[in-house]
Amino acid sequence: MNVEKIRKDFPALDAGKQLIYFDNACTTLRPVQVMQKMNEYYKEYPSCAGRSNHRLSMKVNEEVMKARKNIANFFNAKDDSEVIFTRNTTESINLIANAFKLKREDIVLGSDKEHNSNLLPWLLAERRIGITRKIFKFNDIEDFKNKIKGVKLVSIVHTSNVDGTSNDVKEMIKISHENGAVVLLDAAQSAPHKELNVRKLDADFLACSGHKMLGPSGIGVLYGKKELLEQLTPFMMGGDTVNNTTYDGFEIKALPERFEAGLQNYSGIIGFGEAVNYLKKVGLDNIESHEKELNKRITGGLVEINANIIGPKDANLRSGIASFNIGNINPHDISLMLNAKNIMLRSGMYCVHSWFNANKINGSVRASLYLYNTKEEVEIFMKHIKDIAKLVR
Amino acid sequence: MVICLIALPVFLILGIFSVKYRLLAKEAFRCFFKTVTLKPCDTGLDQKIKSEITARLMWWPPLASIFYNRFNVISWVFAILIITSTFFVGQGAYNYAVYGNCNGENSNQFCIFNVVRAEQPEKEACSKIENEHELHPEKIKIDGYPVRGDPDAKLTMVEYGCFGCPYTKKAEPVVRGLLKEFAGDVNLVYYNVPLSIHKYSIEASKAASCAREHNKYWEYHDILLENQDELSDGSFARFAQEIGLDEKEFSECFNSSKYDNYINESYNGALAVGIYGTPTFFINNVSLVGPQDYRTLKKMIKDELEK
Repeated sequence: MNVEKIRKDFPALDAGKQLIYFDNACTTLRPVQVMQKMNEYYKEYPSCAGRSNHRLSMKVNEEVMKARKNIANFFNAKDDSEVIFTRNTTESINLIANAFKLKREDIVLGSDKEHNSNLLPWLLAERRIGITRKIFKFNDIEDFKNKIKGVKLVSIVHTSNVDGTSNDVKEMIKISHENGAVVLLDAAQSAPHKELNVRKLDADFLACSGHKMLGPSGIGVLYGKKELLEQLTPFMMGGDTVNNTTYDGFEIKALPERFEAGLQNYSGIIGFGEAVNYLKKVGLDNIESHEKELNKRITGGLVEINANIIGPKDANLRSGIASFNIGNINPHDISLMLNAKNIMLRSGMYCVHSWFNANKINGSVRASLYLYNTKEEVEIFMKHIKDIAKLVR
Repeated sequence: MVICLIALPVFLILGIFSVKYRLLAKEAFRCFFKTVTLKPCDTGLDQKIKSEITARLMWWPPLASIFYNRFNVISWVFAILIITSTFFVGQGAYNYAVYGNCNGENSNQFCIFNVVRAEQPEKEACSKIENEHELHPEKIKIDGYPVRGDPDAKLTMVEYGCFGCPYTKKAEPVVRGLLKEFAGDVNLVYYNVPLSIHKYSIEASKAASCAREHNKYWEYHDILLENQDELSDGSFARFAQEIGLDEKEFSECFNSSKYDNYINESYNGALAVGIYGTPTFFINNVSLVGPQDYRTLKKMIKDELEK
């Protein structure tokens, strides 16, 4: 993987800007290829898909279909129609929370390290329809086994955005299926960084966002097995979700359109399709090993200064995320000081307040890496981190 | 939190010039409001300031460390300084509004609001004598000296001036303005002190005395000060002509020595009073050396009139 060549595709990393971007778990930078593809829609065929018969509309249709195919291939879905476009991971999970047939006292199981996007929809469903929620300890298979009995839906995060550790989802999906439960995978933090094969995993549903994997913001995906998607009742209906309506009824469209109500974010869809193309060309395995290599360097430096690393000290288990605290320095102070040095990263609880509160940790600093980050950037970062550590010595 | 007390006025001032600082000023105001109502500041502004400054001090880690770890103490020190200085500025502004001088009643010290004094706070009077010394208003003898304004006015302001002195010229608009404002209540006695450090000052005194013979003293006084930079051997006759004096009569007077004694006596009289610089003003027993701003003199006049 030629990082220097890759960096040239990212205008935000122009040498003159001297920007070190380590906030990739929040959102990634976008390559020029994605931007060009998005602009192409607005410049050459700014029209709506699947409705009109004219040439521009046909072109949009074709590009949207291509993007859907790219994304289906990216996840190795059986059929393109198993890919539904949403706004983001949050909307995908909310779609399931509203469309999956859940009734009072049905059990939904999640881990203790879920993003608010995969916690709040279920808390709401608990209040709205009276489902029961169960929580297992993150990546603790024994605890998972203890809690799986009677569960109707397992909605779990794949890779945690707090510390980069992952649930053993292959095993969990297997156990879930053995116990008759359906599994929804929050892949927002895993899809951008590792090869995901929904058929190998046997995932029933999978949610992810374009903006975390070089794609545009405002576009996401819900993957679902066709037979399961067909059982869902759309919770949002409107333009292009039906073939016909009368005053009393409607004839719903086939998959995936029945879940894509109203005019879609075509530029975003097309850009997302281009983003997964880009990732495939670079190779997810290459990206994963590059991130781990950089994370090892960061972890080594953090151990040197006795930083409190959240999660395991083995960087191999934390993909491209290093979440830490230095002494009693407020994590926001650290991120603000680094910002003054042109290093962008995040501090706080990353929308996983529940886990931080339960563990009585007042937030952390998070450096999250991606394919365009370099060893030199890591060195500069560590130099400043060491300077900051001196503040409390 | 206390940093917001400092940040608010700073960002308010910077906000005049930039929207960016207006937003920060808003944040500072919210934080300020919370601080004074004893609630925790939740804007994060204090954190931003602390971290930004610490990052800039990182070139010398011990300094950055002291700043970071003692931020609250440092903030308090600056907050107390800013509150104290605000108090003194307020006091100065009050003094300026009420007494015409930010240092208080009857003060003759430097005041930044007094523009005239600010230009040359050190030496603002023309002087032949280096050292300042005590003035003796009780020794003033003004009988026979020219009076401007109502001779029966309640109050007399005495000005010791020199026609060649640029500070005497500088004081002139203020003096004239006050005589206009207090017409009928205040008059001016101009006591000329020809300082030899100014070329033609003795000639100017002599010429003015000649003009006085024809009741044209004040016209000549004014033309001399207005054209102070043009004083020359030939200028005195020209000025006389301009104010309508007979050229021949003026020249005879000017070329004679009839006023030599008078000029010497005047000069010695000024020394007896202790005059060490021009202009020097006396309003009853209160003296002021150097050109004064309008408000200062006006305040003194009003006070004397009210006595």
